Amino acid sequence: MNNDLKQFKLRDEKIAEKVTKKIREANVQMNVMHVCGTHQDTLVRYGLEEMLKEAGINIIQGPGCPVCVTTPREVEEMIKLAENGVTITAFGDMMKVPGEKKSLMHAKQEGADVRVVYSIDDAVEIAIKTDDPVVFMSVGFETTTPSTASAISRGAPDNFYILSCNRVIPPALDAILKMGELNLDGLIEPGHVSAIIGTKPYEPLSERYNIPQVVAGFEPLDLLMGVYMLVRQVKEGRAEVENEYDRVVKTEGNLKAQMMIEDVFQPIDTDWRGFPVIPDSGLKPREKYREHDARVVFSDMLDELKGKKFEERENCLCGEVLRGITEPNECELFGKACTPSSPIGPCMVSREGSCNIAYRYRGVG
Amino acid sequence: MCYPNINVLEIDLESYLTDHLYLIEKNPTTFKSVPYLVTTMCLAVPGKILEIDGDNAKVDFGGINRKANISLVDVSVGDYIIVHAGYAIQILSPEEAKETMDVWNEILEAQKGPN
Repeated sequence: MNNDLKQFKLRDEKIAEKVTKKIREANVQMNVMHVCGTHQDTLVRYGLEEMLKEAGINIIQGPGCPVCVTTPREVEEMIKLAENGVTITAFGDMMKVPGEKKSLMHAKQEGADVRVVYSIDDAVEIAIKTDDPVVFMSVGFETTTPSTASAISRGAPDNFYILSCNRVIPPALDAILKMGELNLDGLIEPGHVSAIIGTKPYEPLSERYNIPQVVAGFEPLDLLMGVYMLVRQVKEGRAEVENEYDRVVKTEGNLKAQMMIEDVFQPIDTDWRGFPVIPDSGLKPREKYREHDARVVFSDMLDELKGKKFEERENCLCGEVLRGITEPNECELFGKACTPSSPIGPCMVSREGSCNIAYRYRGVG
Repeated sequence: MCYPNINVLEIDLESYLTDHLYLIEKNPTTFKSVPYLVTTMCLAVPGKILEIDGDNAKVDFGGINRKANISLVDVSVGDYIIVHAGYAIQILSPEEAKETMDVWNEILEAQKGPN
């Protein structure tokens, strides 16, 4: 690419300065929440957080990491299955997430058959090659859920089951705004969740809570632009849903993916790590797919976990970090007892967790 | 003008789209540096479809070819897609990026002129 300067660069520092200047000139003080680990990574890695703070914009990461909001109960369910001889498949970043006492990694070290997969298709491949039961830990928001829905609806082998830990974003945003622990003036919505659901599901939030929202992409300029669009809404007295990431996100989203989710899953009330039960924020397989639902098929193993209360690790502030009311370095375990190689809470495990990102880019202190 | 070479009129939709891919190629922090098996949950990367075989496609991710499942999208060879956890979740489309380009032009236009 010879004519670099004529190209529009999503990491162009000079353009970044121009946008930041516009934000500063608007002279607006705002608390902005985003709910995506990849957004947080970009904000911290490129120092945008600091830049924006100086311009009056305080950015907070909410519960935007599917790994982090997975509850100890769900991890314990997987460990229970693994210890009963079931082959477990999971995404790599679930391996070290602590349940009540141990993680899937610990179970594997103790001899359980736990395998890391990159995609649900890899898990299906494993099931095809054996007659033994294979369970896939289906973790993820709307970005990931369609892949599970597709694999199930296209016809998975009889010995293949999913343990649904899938969650949906809009009800969680509603819960956060309703709880009102944070004085939020704007929301940055996750680009790839929105690629699936489109922009319409956010509209009731703007109406109900009079809050501006912008769907944003993941490059530094995407996020600066997203913030600028929020600032512009505040200046103009608007509270609407705007789309900065329109090269990927369509207003109606991905209809084919939405139809597959609808076909395979039904909404259920579920809890999130750090949050009480949020109505309709979880998904479970519909009745017609019950033969692939690990909670139905292995109820003899899993039922004893029902009604059991799972405690968070002592002094772990992941719940508060996920609700955006505590910074990672305010936790006494951060960088001391809890590090990425030996994490105590899930926010330190996942590369998308606030604590992991803070540790990698900001260091301890 | 501080950037004689950046003329707002030259920032067209095509380069806007190309840049998304250019970043993966030249500044591969998002994809290549992440170990294959460590899936970060909402990380999704753009690639170009090279071949299609049923529900699967061979996809070029800035020089690395890998299989992706395309059952969630209607695509043809040559399309740019966004892939997450092995599945294409959406098609990258320059035509639809008009709205944001207008805001970019507004910012750059407003700051054009003597500086």
